[in-house]
Amino acid sequence: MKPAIRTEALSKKFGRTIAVDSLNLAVPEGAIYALVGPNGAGKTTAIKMLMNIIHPSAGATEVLGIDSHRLTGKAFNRIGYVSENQELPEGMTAGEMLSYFRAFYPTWDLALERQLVRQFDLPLDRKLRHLSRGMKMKAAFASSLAYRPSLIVLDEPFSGLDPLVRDELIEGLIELASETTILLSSHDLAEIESFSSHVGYLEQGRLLFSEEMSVLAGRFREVTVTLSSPSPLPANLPAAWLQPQTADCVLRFVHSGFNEQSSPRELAERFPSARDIAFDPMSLRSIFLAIAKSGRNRTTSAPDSVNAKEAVA
Amino acid sequence: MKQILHIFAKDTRRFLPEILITLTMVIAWISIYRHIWLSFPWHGPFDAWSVSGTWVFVDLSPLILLGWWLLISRVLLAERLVGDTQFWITRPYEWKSLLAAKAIFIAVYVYLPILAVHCIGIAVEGFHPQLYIPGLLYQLLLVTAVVLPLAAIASISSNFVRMTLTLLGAAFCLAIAAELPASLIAGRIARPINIEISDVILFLFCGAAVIMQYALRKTWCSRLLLIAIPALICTVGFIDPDRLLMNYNYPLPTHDAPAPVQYSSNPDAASATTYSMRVANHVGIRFLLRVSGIEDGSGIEDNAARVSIEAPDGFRWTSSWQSQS
Repeated sequence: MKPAIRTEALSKKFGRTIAVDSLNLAVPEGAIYALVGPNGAGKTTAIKMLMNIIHPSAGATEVLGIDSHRLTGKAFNRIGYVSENQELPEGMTAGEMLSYFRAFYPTWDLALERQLVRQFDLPLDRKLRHLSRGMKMKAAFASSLAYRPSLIVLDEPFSGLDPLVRDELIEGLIELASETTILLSSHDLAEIESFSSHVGYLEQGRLLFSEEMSVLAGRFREVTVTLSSPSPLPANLPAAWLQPQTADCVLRFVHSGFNEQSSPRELAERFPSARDIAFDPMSLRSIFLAIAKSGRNRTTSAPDSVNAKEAVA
Repeated sequence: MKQILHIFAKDTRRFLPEILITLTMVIAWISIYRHIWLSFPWHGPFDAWSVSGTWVFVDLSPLILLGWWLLISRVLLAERLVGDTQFWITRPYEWKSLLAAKAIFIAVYVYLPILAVHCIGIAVEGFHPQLYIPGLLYQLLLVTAVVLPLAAIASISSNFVRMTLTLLGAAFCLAIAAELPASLIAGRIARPINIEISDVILFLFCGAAVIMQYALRKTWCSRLLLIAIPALICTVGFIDPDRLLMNYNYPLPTHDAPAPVQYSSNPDAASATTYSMRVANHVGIRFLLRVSGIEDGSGIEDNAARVSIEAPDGFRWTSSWQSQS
């Protein structure tokens, strides 16, 4: 299947600063792809290049089969874009904005617009400049979902919103998820964990990994090895074991290449005197914290880490 | 076309107060102008009201320019081209439609009222506007000399304040660029060709900056185009094509090709007029001339002069062409 979004060695420099460094990304059609990473990781810059808002310094991008350089005008009939920094026509009321945008999209679904207005409880008669940030975001969502785009790109859409508004927006998004591809960036892992199908981790402009959420959750385990006697941290631990630490008889680490079949056996062989070896699943937040706290290079070179293309294949 | 009209209608609704203010000022301006015109002696006794009317008329012109400036900047900045957070850049806007919508807006609310009031003025005086189409078009061209630079600066500005500062800076640079060659090259002359070339540069580069900005949104390229305008105008001033062409078109008379009219000294007229030079660092010299040799049925128009003075010691000084206007 052709990916909805594909980038090849996409890079962006601002002077000497490398904001995005050789990004190879592939977002499969129908996926809800979460591009996560700390603030300043390059998520917004990458998305802006995808949307042809800024031009890359090097590399190529394709969105819905169109070279991003040519992404203008009618190409946006099939793309919905919402960003936390995006301006709205503040002089208009929410109703006027929806009515204004309606004429631009041949696929605008009036029934869906009304449903979204009801669902988000949008005050149609109030000027956008007088709306709260949450309400503005709802208006932006409604105006970007009502034409049933093939691709929805959301840049930090839930940033700074209260949980209620965030849930309402996610709900609205999930209802359309079956017929569209969604790419969203976020630094809040908890908010995307519940509904994302794929995840990519960007740090300092580099994509550390990109894979399906289930695969990611499957290959990360918090391992607790209870030894028979106190022992120092063993030398030459595999690179895939992150944050190893010992306390008395207990050795703990995060296994970034866990395999349901082989890993328990390998660990049993490595620690023959272990009284117990426990494997606990990890939340997305715990996984990213482990990655962030451990050496990035080790994570990148982890044997089971999957690059973007492999994850999509 | 649908998109053009849609954007145009949106702008009209949104900027209705600004449109009404501008239109009111234009109507007031032309009404006062007509009142003054009717007060001139050839229309009957002089009307004292025209004195205050003249004051208002003089004062309204900058207000109209100010109104246009506000209107044009507001409408262009509604879909500003600078930046990466505008709502419209990720919507199905076609740049040609956007540009056309803005152009139509300016045509309808700036050009059309000016054209209409001129036509009405001509008609009220008993003339037929159709007979004055070249003059009317020239009026619109003069309006373009204001509108196009305003549009170009608005297209490279991210907000109204920056646009204002850029406009002031641009006006200053243009004034320097236009005056620098004249102040460095001795003599001043009405330079119709220089001015025409400068106008063409202004129109072409401003137009190109606007189109490039709408098509590509490469703000720095558009800014460079605008920065090039004063530099080019200054260069034209130094090259001074008028001087080159004057020398070519009006060579010194020779035996084989005498001047079509003759000028000779006319000392008898010395008492007819008085003259005093009041410019610092200048010495006034009065030449009283008699013009002869004008063919029957012909006339001469004295536009520019050039003077050579030869001192008894053989020193010769030749002025540049000086404007007579």
